Amino acid sequence: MKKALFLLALIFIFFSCTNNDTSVSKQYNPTPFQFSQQIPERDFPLYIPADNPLTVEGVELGKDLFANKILSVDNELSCTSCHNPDKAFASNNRFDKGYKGKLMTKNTMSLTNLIFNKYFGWEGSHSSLEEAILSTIENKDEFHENWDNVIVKLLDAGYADKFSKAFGTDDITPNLVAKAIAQYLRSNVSVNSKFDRAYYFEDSSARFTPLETKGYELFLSEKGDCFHCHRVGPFFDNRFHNNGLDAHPEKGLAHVTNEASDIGKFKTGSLRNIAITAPYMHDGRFKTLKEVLDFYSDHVNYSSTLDPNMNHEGGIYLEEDEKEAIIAFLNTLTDEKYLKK
Amino acid sequence: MKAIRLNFFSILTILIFFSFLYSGCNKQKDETAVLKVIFDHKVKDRNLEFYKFIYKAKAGYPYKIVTLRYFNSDFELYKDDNSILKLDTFHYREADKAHEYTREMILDIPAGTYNGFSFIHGLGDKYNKPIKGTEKHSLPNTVDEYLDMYWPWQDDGQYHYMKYEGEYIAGNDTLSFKLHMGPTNGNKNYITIDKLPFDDTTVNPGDTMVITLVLDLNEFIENPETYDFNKFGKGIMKNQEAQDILKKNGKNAYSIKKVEILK
Repeated sequence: MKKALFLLALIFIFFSCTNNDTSVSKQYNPTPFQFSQQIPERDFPLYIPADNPLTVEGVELGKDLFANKILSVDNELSCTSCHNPDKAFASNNRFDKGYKGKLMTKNTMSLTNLIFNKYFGWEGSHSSLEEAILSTIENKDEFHENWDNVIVKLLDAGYADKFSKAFGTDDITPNLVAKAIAQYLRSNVSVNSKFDRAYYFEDSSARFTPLETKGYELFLSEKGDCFHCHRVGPFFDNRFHNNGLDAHPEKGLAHVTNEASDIGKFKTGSLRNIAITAPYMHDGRFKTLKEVLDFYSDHVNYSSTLDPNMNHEGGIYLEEDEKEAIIAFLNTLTDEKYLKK
Repeated sequence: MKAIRLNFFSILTILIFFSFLYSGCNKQKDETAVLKVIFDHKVKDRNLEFYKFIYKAKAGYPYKIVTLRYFNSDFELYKDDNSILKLDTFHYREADKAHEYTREMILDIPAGTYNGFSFIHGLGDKYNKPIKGTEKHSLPNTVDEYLDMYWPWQDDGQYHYMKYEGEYIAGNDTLSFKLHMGPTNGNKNYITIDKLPFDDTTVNPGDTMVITLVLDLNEFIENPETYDFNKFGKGIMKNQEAQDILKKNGKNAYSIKKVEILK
């Protein structure tokens, strides 16, 4: 009998150790999120934190919060005030307006395809998307709000039930707000452009024109040398580069690392949907793709951290027809279906 | 048929029997040691320091190094009985601070006595297969750093073997160089590093043999042929003459700094 009791006790101890998450409601049973389009997996590592998998309920809550001015002081701004969903979550302003109409100092980055990103912000200020969202709420120049107020406002607006469905808890916390918005942003995937249909999905109706083909060949050549930073697939490289915008560049990544060798380096922007996300560069100085190519052709400035991929003799010297071809190729990266969503 | 009744002691006996059986099957595991390879760098007689014009190329140019990324594969350890242990793997090394975790490669090896090490600078055929259309990459597609080594002419292979980049001063001009190695125009272009010998070293089960390799970056541009940055410019991915010089020079670029046993 004693032996049997001993065995029972062991079994009890074993099972009591396996269920230690008592904070989550027993009814919590979220639906895993399925992407509405195929992601060609070979070129796209996905960055999804283990503690924030995408669920239908989380994405829906995040979408709601993203467009809701409740997150800012005086309910003045929402995320969509700058990140326009119709513009691939970018903005066509050089600098958008933040708290009390104050102009931002950087151009608004597109928030499309963040699921492929390791770093966030032009200067890589945030190593996680959740962290970037958390900081936006309290940033004095952006939402200028404090979290206590946000949570009270969300409770008053009846969000407890939505958080319960998304995360299995009635408690609304800053981390859960950030997680929901991050889920929504990671669900925004745009990989269905003419290029994708031709390159990944072998869709014969998406055949390139001779001009687009010429542009793609230049893009992949060491003359154009676009591909070393704008890697085929995501069309960025999760790295930071000084592309020679200025002879005396801004601090850029050095703002975060304090390393002199990082001065002037900014995160490579994705070229997906680039045709509709003007203006360009971290400070939005170029209004058109033609201006961008004129810069890379003839106006690259030397400084001690200039990327070796940039031609140090002023540029890559493109002919006008070559610029036209590269622009034609870049236009194939526009995902009409995604933009119409 | 008579039912078998198991009491507490018979269950215990069966469990003990199977645990002995299990440990017997894993006898080989007890013979396992660890190989740690450390990938370090130098530039002639100096340590590698990025973004400093402290090196001088044989062709006459002061130069600085900005980027160093490369693959190694097809490692082989030479045993004292003249047999060879093939280590079927690859390693990616990126030398800046943020990628310091790539400095070491750690593998299980059988305990024994070893006296040499060889490998490929670049990627052997298994790890750099040509691909068409939507075929899968040879290396895991979950690591951005591997994908950043993208080589756009995929009939030859998918990856750069090496990106070694920097600047040099020619007269009044500061120009960039990019020693990008890879397969091109049907040429494999990886470098087979022949056996780097070391004294007979015995690694016992559970111990770690540490091999510290040193890659001398100056060798690529100096020995035996002088590589002239000005002659080749910065776009050498399809320039077989430049690739040939790098191949020839890279053959001498590695040495073993030390081999040690950690108990």
